[in-house]
This record gives sequence, C-alpha cells and structure tokens, in this order.
Amino acid sequence: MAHTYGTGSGVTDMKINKHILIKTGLVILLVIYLTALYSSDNARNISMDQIAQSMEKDQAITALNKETRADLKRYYQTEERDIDGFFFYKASSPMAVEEICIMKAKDRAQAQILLENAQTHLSSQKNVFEGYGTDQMALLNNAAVGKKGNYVYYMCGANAHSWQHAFLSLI
Amino acid sequence: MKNKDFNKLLLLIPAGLILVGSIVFLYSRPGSGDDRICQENVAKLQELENADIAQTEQQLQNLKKSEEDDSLRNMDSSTVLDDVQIRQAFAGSVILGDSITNSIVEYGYLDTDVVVAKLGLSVSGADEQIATAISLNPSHVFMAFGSNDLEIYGADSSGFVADYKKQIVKIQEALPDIPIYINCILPITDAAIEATPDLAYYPQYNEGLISLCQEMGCTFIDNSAIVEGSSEDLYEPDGEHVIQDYYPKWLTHMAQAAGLQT
Repeated sequence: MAHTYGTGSGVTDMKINKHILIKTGLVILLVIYLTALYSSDNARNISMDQIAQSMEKDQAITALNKETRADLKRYYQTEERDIDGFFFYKASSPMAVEEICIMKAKDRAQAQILLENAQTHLSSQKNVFEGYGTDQMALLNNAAVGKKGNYVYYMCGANAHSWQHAFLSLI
Repeated sequence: MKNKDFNKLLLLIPAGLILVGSIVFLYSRPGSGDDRICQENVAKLQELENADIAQTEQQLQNLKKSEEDDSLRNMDSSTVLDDVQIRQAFAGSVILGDSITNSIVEYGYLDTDVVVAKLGLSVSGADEQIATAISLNPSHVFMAFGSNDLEIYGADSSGFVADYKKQIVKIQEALPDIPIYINCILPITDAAIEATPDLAYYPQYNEGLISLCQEMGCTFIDNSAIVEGSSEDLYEPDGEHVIQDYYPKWLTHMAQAAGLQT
C-alpha cells in the first residue's frame, strides 16, 4: 500500500505527464497565436491595375482629380519607380481634403515606411487645417490610414470607411 | 547850318509824334471799372482751366482703369505668363497672404521661398509671416490679406486698415527701399455673403486699402476684373476662394504691376 503513495514511479510519471501536457498546450497556443498574428497582416497579391479597376467604379472617387507620380512624390515623399504601383485620387481644390491613395510596397519593410509617410501626410493636413476648417478637420479626424500586407492606404472623405472596406475586401 | 537844323527837325517830328501817340494811347485806355471786369474774366478763365484739368484727369484715370480692367478680363494664353515665366518673374520676391495666396503653392506655380502664407491668416495675426518675409530680403513685397479679416473686424474697416498699416510699417522699416504692393480683397459672391453677412464689407475694406496705399507710398493692385465679367466662373463653391484658372492671371497681373515681366 505504502508503495502506491510513496516516491514510487507512478506519482512521478503523473507529474511528468502533467508538465509535458502543459508545455505542449502552451506551445500549441503560441503557434496558434503567431499564426493568427501573421495571417491578419496577410494580403492577397493583387495588381494595382485590378485594384484601380475595382475602386474606380465608385464615382465619388473618379469625381476627384487623378494624381500623378509627381504628386505622389510631393505628398507622400515616394518615388513611383521604387514601389510596385499606386492608385491616387485627390480633390483638386487646396481647400478640400478628400483623398484616396493606395500604394503597393515591394516588401514589408518598405510598406512600413510608406505607412509612416501616409501618417505624416495626415498629420500635415491636420496641421494646415487646424483652426481654419471645421468640416475639413472632421474629415481628417475620421480618415482611414493603414497597412495590410504590402499595401498601404490613405483614405479621407465622407466615404473614407466604405472605401476602406471595399479595398480590404479586395485583398 | 540850315540843312543840319532841318535834318534835326525831320528826326524830331516822328519822335514827337510817337511820344504824343503813346501818351494819347495810354490815356485813352478804359478806366478802373473795365479793369475789374477784365480781372474777373481772367479769374473765370483760370477757374475753368483748372476745372477742366481736374475733370480731364479724372476722365483719363477712369479711362485708364477701364482699359486695364478690359485687359484683365480679356487675358488669354497669349498674354498670361506661363509656369516658367511666373517663376522667373517672382524670383526674389515675396507674396504674403492667407489661403487664397497659399493656393499659389498648392497649385505648383511658386514655392515657399516666395510665398509666405497660411490658411486662415489675418493681417493682425501675420507677425511671424511678416518676419519670415523680411528675413528673405526680397526685392518686391506683395501682400494679400483681408478675406479672413472681414469676419474679425466686421464693419470696422478702419481697424483692419490700421492693423494693415502696422504690418506695412514693419516691412518699410526693415526694408526701406523695397516697393510694396497691396492686393485688393476679391469680390465675394452674393451666396457667400448671404451665408456670412460680414463678407459684404469688402468694398469698404478695399477703399480703405486704396487710401492706405496713397498714404504709405504703396501700389494698390485691383484684381476684381479678373473674376468679374470672366466668361468662366472662377469661384470655388464657397464663393470666396478661386479655382486654379485664376492664379496665372493674378500672378501675371502682379508681375505687370511691379514691372517684373521678362
């Protein structure tokens, strides 16, 4: 009887199994977490032409001014030749803040830089219009700026969040 | 002897006749009453002469303004400076102002080494911009304030003009020999005025600026004709700001006013 409750191999085995189970469980959880984390920033590899074709169905976008690579450089400090394409429409009036810009980076590191440039542009716009235009500030405060995979987007306007939804559903 | 006496007599007779004739002429002139009439007539003639000159000058000025306005209204691609010419013309100058001026940079005509502007800027709040302009040591200074001041000063155009004068004095003290050009406040649409009644005072503000320019030795630049009577609607939907097509014409007009055209 004493053998069952003493320092016998049965109790020790139970303890070892329990530790193995706990460790295994934690590792599995970690793998699941990392997988979820990685896949949440994943995006389908779709060309900018396809994205443009889809987004340009929205007349609220095509009513804006189609911007050039010079404007990409001016507003986002980004050279077209350094990235994998862009889609950029902006209100023609300097007094308006409606804008949609999607850039496709060549890799994740570049995407992070593009995101920072987009955030800087938003800060700059807020700085320009602060204390001047309440309507513009409201739109800027509601702007959608983000990154998914190698894509970076800046969307400002009454339809900013519907644009964001439409774009993210593409990728 | 007799011949000599006779010759003398011959000379004396005409001389005497002339003398007598002169005396007779002088004493036969009209009296003091006629002099008075003559003086009155002379005074009237002078009055008419002066009045004619003043009126003629005014007519000439009106004619010149009318010609200038026609020229502004009829500006086309052959008379408007192109992008390169604009940059060349304004190199070394400074243009100070608010959002309307800021759009010169936004539309890419000039850069911030020439344009010192900020959205919402009023003339009294432009101390920093004035200091920046002075530090650039420009050859010509153009100022374009007023759109935001209408809602600040309202009916008190004299307050606006007084603050504008302070800023001009700062520039003149720092840059004594530099010509300063003051742009008018652009006409504002009825719709914009209906929404913001204070905007209706812009004519009084412009009158104040004209007087200020005369006082301070600056040049007033009236750009109204560019927007008024234009075949194209040059206004933004807000009725205060103007679209891109306005800017080459405005810049050309400023360059013409300052003799900066190449």
